[in-house]
Amino acid sequence: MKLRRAAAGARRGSGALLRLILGVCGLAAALLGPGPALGATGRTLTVGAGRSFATIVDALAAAADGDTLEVYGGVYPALVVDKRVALRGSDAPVIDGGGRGTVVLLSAPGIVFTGFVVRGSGPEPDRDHSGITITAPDVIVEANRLEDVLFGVYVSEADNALVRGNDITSKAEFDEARKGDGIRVWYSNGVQLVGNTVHDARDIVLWYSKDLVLSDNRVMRGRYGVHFMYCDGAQVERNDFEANSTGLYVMYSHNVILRYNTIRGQWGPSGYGVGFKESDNVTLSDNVIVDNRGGLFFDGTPFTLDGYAHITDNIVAYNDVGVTLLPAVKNLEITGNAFWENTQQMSLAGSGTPGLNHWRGNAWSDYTGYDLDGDGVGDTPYRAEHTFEGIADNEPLLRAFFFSPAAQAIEFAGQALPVLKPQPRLVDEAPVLDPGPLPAYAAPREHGVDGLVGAVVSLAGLALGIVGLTHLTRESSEHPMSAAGTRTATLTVLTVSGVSKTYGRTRALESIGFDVRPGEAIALWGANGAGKSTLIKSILGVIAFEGRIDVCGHDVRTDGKRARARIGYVPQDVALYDETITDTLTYLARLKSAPIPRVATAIADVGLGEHAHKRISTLSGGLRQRVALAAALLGQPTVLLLDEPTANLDAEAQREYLTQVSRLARDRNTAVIFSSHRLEEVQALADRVLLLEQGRLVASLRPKDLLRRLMPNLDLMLWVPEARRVDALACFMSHGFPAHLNGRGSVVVTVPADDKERPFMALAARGIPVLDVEIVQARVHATAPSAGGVA
Amino acid sequence: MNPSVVWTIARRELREALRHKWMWAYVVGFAGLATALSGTSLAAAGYAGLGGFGRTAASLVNALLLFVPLLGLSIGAGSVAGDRERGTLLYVLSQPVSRGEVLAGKAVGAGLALMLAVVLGFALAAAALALGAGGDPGAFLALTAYTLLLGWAMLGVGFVVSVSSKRSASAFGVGLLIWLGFVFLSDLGVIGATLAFKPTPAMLLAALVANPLQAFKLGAIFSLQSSLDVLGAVGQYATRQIGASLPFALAGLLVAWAAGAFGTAYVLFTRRSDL
Repeated sequence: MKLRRAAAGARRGSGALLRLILGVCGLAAALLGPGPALGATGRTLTVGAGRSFATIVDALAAAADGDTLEVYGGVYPALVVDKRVALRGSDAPVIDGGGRGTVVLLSAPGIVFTGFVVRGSGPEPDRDHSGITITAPDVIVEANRLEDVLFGVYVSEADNALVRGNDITSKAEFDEARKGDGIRVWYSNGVQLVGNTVHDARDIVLWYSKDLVLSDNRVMRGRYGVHFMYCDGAQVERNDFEANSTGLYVMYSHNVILRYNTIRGQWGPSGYGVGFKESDNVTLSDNVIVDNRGGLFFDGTPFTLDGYAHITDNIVAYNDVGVTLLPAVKNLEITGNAFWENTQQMSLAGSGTPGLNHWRGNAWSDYTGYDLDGDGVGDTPYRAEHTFEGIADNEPLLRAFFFSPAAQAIEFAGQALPVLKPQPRLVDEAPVLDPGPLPAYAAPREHGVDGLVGAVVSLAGLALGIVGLTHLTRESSEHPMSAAGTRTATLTVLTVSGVSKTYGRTRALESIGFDVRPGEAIALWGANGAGKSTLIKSILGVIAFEGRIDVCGHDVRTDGKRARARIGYVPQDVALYDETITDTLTYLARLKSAPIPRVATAIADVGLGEHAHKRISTLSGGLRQRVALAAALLGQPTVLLLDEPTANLDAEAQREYLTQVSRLARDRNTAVIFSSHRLEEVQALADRVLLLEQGRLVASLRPKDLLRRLMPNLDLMLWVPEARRVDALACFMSHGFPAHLNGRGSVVVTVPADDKERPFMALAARGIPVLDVEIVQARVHATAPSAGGVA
Repeated sequence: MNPSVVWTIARRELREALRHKWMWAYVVGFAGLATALSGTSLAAAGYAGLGGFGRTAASLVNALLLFVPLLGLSIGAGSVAGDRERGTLLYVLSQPVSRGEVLAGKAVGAGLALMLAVVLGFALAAAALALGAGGDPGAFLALTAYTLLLGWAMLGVGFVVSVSSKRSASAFGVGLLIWLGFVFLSDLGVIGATLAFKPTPAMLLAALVANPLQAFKLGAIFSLQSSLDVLGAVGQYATRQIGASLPFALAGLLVAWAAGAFGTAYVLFTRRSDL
């Protein structure tokens, strides 16, 4: 296959050389004297302004067979040439039909017509209004430009015409079907169409004509590139067909050879690169058929039992469908071709099973076999058996799902489940692995790398820009929501009124109400589930609730951002992103619209200076809690909201933390609201304690009262001299303290938790010394008794 | 909405994404896919240079169809739910920011991270192509743009899932189901309906592009081939009826999906009464 294709390239190359030689010879013949159709002894008549003749018609009237009319630039009316003369245009003379009828009629044998611009035919298709109509044999039409004509060149019953090197188009205002044919050949044998460019016309259509030669033409943006009807013995070589609806279509014709053509981009509604209908003895070889809706189409070809259709050494690539067969097609010989990257390699149009055709030695891009013996031929046959393609053949609308994972899933299912596996549409027993080289004449589309370098630069620039954005800072355009702009003059910094919250059927808060004054420290005390955290979230305005909460006069629900700007919040479990302390605080400072230099101050205030560049994930719980405190202080809050701030700290860290909070709050006159389980924390920090029980605020107390409430009594074990034990017991009883001897050498007395000194004073008054003392029973109640009012 | 706050959150999200290994895995994945896709459909040498849209290119579009939604959905699904689970969401919301600003910031950050993965991947692919045989830069950039739009649309859907989920694991699970739905189930449903009801090309086109993945597919194929004819009657219908504005219409659909999804996520997130 490789060798054949290389040879094909060479032949196509030699074709170009031949075309050049023919062109030069033709031009020389045209310039130097009579062509093969003309006599050798004609006169030359000049036509044009200031020439021998003003009009071509006048010159023709004076001309005899064999003369040459040298026509110079200018615009001339439509004409009929009925003498065997050569008309040679110089400086692109224009023959303008004025929009009526045919522009140039060549009706005498052997006319040469070259070098003109022909334009302005009539628009009537049923009258064959053409640029040039040839009705006599042996006419040469060469190197003309035909524009704004319905039909281009119409060869009508004119054998052996040579139409060469013309540029032909149709009327631009008409749609494809209304346009005329670029070239039409009708009952004319031996016609040669060589090196023409036909574009934006309807078809090149050839009717009832034998032994036609089409070579080196370019046909673009038409309907049919070339359409053969009943044309036997045609030879079509080295042509380029691009962006037509259909490239080549051969109908009812025999002994047709199509080779070395490039057929690319035929995407009409029923577009095929090359189609055959009821034709016999056709050879299609060494063509490059790419990027078409359908590569090849066969209907009734070969037509007779003795007929043949040899499809060899073509490249059929990147088509929607490589080959489409009607079920009745049989005896095709399809060998040595490359079927490469066609979306569907073979399609059967209509229902039924494909006839017996001979597929052998082709290369298939979707061949999944192997070649163990290295002979270049696959060891297992190629089978075209795709489940989804089969479904789409039956319901063509489903082609819309090509390239979808769903279609691929169906394909996989078909491969995996034999019951779904379709009948193979074709089997190539000897598939070739290497598709061979691309012939030189099938030059790929040019895409330089410059544009791609530009794409690389743009995309890389964009990527760098995105990365750079992480370092781009944008200072707040809003006025910082600092305490300066707030209603700090109010007597309360926090007002909670009638706040209730329900989670499903659970009442988490019920009609909570209290006020907090500037600089006041409030402890929220309650068991787990009492509603402390819910209340804190409500104050932050991050959950919905009933009632109203104002922070410095800002309703947390309707003006939450301003309210939160007055709050510094420290959660129980500090959940921070894993960045350095400085980055974390800088991020939070930006969220709070706080000045960035305040970050360093906050770090120093909480004693984190030496840790500033450590990542959050490397910090202990105590240090994290300090980071959270520093973050809370960044916005210079009016209210510090601490949720179990020391819950995860050891005793020393607790003390240290509480000292810090206390100092900072005092220095800044900041109100502190904190939830806690720790009595010592409450005693160290709180001015007031709010007791929460099952979502209700049951009491508001001084810390001292809390102690009494939580630990109303405790037992003291006192060691007194043995001789005075009974006296001591009597003394306690007389002062109203329950007491007893415990049998281990000491007296146990029950006293109010906040009145521990009285028993000692009573003993002292009776002169009874105390040798030692131990608190033997200290019960801290997380919840207070339900009695008691709210202060 | 304060753009400064949004931008602060977005930058942090982006910084975090840049630290993650998944980000670079996606970049490498994209680069591989895009290089292979471009090499088989855009390159100017060998058979590929013949300029068509082949089976291999198709399967790579397929791969993008699988990969990009997964990327978008997974980033989106993990965004809010992950923060909620870790507690960082509560902490951020306790700052003087609105929910809208937080969501917008997270969306912009995640969108930029996704964009970085896609753009870097395609840049590497373009570099590989430029060092090799060359290719069509216009088609390449158009494919990049469609991939981005699809990624953002799926990111938006991921955000909807994320704001509706309490745990990131359940968000990922739902995201995966949605991915399956977009990638396979909806198409299989439409295929079945097509076989049963024989719709017109117009109806099938409408059903098709209701799925953003199909809108992306049409856009990707159009950018590689300047036509949808390869998709049969539906593709021809789309090309003929919509004409030159088809690529913009498809891009518009993806933009609408992204806008709709992020809008829904915004409404759900701002109206949600708890964390």
